[in-house]
Amino acid sequence: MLELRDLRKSFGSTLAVDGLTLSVRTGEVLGLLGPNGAGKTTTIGMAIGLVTPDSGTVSLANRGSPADPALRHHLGVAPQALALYDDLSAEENLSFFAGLYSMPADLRRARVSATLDLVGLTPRRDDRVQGFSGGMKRRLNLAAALLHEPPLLLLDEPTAGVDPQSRNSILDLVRELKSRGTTIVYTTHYMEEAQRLCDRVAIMDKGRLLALDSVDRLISAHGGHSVVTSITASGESRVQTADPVKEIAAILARGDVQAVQEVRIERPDLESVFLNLTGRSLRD
Amino acid sequence: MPTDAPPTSPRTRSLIVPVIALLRKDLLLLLRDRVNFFFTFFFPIILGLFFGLVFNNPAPPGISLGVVDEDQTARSQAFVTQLQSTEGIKVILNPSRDAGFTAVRKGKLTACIVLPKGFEASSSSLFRGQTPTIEGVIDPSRQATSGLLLGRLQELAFRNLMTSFTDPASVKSTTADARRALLESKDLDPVRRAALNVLLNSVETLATDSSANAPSNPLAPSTESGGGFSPIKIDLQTAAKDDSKSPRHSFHITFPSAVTWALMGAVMAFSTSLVTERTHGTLMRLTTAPISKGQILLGKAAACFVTAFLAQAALIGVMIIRAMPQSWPLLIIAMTCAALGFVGLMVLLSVISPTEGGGGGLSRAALLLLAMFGGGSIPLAFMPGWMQTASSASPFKWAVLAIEGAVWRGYSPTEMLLPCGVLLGMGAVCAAIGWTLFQQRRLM
Repeated sequence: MLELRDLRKSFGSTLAVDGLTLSVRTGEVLGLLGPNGAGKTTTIGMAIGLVTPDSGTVSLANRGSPADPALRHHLGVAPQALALYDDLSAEENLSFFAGLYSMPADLRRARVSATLDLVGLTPRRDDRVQGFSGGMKRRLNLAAALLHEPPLLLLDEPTAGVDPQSRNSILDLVRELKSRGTTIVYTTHYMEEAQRLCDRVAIMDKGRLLALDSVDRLISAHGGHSVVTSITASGESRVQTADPVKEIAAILARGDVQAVQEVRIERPDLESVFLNLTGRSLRD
Repeated sequence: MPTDAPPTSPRTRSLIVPVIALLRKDLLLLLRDRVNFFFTFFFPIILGLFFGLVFNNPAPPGISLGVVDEDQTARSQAFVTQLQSTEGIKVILNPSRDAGFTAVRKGKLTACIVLPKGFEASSSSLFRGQTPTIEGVIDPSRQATSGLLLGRLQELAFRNLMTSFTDPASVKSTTADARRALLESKDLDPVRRAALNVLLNSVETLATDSSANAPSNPLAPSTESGGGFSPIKIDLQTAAKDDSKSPRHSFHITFPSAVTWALMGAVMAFSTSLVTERTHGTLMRLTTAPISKGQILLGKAAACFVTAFLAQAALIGVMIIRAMPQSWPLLIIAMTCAALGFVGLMVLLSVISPTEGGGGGLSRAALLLLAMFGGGSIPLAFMPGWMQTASSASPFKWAVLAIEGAVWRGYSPTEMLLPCGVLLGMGAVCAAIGWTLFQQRRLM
């Protein structure tokens, strides 16, 4: 669906993206995971044709560069910065954006209503955006990208700064879109979201692609072992192991079962993967 | 939002519909931006009204009446003398019909009447069924005074008639004239001839008796009705179109000048629009939609054009309450050219605006400077020579000139070519520079 080949982009002396090659498969949710400044937004910018790479190529649906306006029907973009008109109502915003896609009036009205329904904003359709909560604005921002039912959706930090309820709503929506067959590129620095949603995750840091695979394989390859923690009257012990069940059985076999107060298994996650790949935490 | 009229082909649709969507959206945003809306639509009207009323030289309460005496007889001169002593009428003698009528068209006279050749003869031939006729024209903007003027003239004619009947010499002259006419009528029935002679004798007797018992003020207006009889026929026409090339009302000056502020408001409202889109992130959404940069700019330009045109139309709408333009078609052309010229300026300013604040400051500074030199602050006529020359670089000068050309300067279509051409040229150059810069600009 989207091919990025050896992309490089510098802003002055800052190398934002360094030789990125990435292929997004049709129907998958691909996570772009990395800390702030990793180059995710620049990558998205090149992927949608807004940022011209210094070198490398971008191909959308094997038809050419997304910089070509004729190909942009295939793309839906929900930028990280809210791209809405505060003085217009939710419906007016969506109707305007639908107009940019040259939709006939009947289709436009139907799509606007359906999309407002999808993001749960129908009761507030006539209210001006300036009165919306952050979560509602995020949902409307996402809705604007869905109006023309694009086969490829690029969501840049779609849950940034929203309350847990709105976050769950957005994640549910992404799952719903995935079930409809939409290809989604999802950038985030929340590893939980990437783990919950993504078929594959691309881990980026300092403009480079460090790893790309499914979450399980990334963890297996780069996450390290699980940590089994046992707490007894005599103290706490932590053991790294590839087989935590076996380790727990061994703990229990070594002494009085009654003496073991608590046993915990800490499985490796994408945070561990990132830590092992970069030596830094995702949240640094 | 309203339904679109379906364009003919998908390609046309994809070109037009996004531009219309941008136009609607920007107009809706302007409508909801109360400050910008006020300064674009209401502030110029307030200025036009305020200065128009302050500097209005109200029409004199009396009637400024031009009189052309073509008859040059004792009776016509007496009529003029009586007019001069009539309260509320200021008589200005004019040497010729053309001079008098032109003075009305120029707004220098309220009306002009002509006492044509034969005025005296017809006045003394009442018994032969002839009614003296007064021809004239009246300023179309002073129609309300035409009734008053007609009334005064009729009143004067009745007084003269009364005087005629109380002056034995005048009656004798009139009856002698009638008797001559009787003698010349060879085929008149002898019985009727005898009866008419008796009537004329009676009139002479009545005139002599009336003279003896005349009231102390023979010119006092009669309270009796004329019973439908009119001693004078007055043919008062509305003056033809004024081609005098001078304003006839202060609104003719202040409202075209206020167009400056309307155009400035329209440009100000949209000159920071692009940079605002960038700041608010919406430009990214526009540029990821299947539209070209050109369509984005065209949408902005269309919204600015509609605003500039409507702001001018609102001004003209208020102006015509007191002062009509000379040419509606030329006025619409002038407004269109002015709007297009300033759309070009807006395109350039919007593209070179660095930030919202910086763009606003840049636009204000540029527009105020251009307006100051273009006659927005000081009327061009009051500027020193060098400033009038420098003003040619300002589109405001040409916009005001074009509007004035249609409103009161009496420009012909050919004369209109210069201001309209300059406006379109300036707009095209500015838009071309802005367009080129925008095409080269990185949007993210």
